[in-house]
Amino acid sequence: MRKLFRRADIIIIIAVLFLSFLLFIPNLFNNDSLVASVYVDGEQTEEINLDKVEGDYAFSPKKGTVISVKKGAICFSEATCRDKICVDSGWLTAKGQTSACLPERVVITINGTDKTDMMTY
Amino acid sequence: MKVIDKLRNLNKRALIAVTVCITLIVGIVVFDAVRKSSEYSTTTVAMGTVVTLRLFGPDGEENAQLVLENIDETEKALLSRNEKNSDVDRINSAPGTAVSVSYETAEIIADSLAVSKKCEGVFDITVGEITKLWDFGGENQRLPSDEEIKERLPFVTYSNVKVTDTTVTIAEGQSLDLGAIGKGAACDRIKTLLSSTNTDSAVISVGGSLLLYGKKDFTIGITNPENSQNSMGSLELSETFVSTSGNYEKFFVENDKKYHHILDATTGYPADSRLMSVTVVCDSGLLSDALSTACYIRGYQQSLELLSQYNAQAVFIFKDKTVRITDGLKDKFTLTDESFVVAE
Repeated sequence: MRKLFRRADIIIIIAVLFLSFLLFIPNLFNNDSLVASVYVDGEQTEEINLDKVEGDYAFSPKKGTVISVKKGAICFSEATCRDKICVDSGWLTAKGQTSACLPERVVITINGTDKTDMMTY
Repeated sequence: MKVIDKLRNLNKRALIAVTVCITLIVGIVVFDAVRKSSEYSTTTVAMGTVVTLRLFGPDGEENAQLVLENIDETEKALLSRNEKNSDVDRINSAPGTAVSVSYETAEIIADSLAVSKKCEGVFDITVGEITKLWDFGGENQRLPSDEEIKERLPFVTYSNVKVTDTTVTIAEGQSLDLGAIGKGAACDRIKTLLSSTNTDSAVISVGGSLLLYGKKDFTIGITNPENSQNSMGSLELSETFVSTSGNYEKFFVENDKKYHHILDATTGYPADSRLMSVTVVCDSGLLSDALSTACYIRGYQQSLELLSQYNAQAVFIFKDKTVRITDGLKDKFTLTDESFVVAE
């Protein structure tokens, strides 16, 4: 009985399948970066790869708050609200950490989780 | 055989083209399936606190939007005393009158009053006039005078609230503050909502009060009360509710004294507790919130019976960094910060 595919055809098919698998590899290994998201009024306004920050800088995502960024860390550095809980919470440096200025509805969170799925507080 | 012969005679280029097309189609279908079953997460501010959603399953973004709308409804239509025309606002605006409210609001208030009765009033949602004086986290946060508290304390009496299936009546001089259970009640409503969607599993934090939904097992970090960005231990849990009350969340310092936001409703002052925090795990968001507050105020020994009445479990963290865990959580707890000591 004659074969539908020759050996060369099978090699080509396997090669194409292998190449298509290679396309997924970047997605499998890109979860290690420390990426911070800034949300203002529920909308994400900034996404910052903290591992790739070169030089310290600060910006104001909304009037009344200032966020400072340095390599591997991000924090609220100024807030006009009374309690300053967001400023007092200090630098965020690990996945899953979150800081919020509730009066101004600004939230910083470092994406992903380290060892826990969520924190209770 | 004829078909195979025809295929056999196909140009090799055509064969490669067909293979590439099939691979791409399969790839797109698989990618789409993976995308739909993957996680969708978002963080925002709602109910005056940070809300974080992690949904697993298809249509995560759409379902997350439904959850956020549900939280908004819980706050604005039902439980917030600051939202004009919410159920609670209308109750507070008409003391002495039976106010028509949604069945859900009436049930939430009735459940809260039941906890008050069982904990001898240390947790009491009629504490509204006193929380207004302190205004923790608000524009008018301050240390009230003893006279101001004494004047209002007689009205903090849960037994003076009358609830039917659809009406709530408070007494003259009273006002309700559901802040201590609002986030947990929101988690209860979210669970009902998610069960009507195609969400496989989810972990949702409404200001640190958690809903764990679906078959997935979750690792939940318990905040280190001395450094709230880090955890001191973790719990392995599935489908339940978790809530923590701690003296580190909202507070101010005046005359070198720390005043935290967990008020003992029998005194009108922050609970003078040996504890830094209590984390409660049980099958109701409202109850986990109410019990964590009540247990923080009552302390370890006096909380054990209360917890057992609700089949709830808890982790108590003392100011001396001792940790006490109820039997049902002992094998689920892992200490991650060695500066704390788990008592046997």
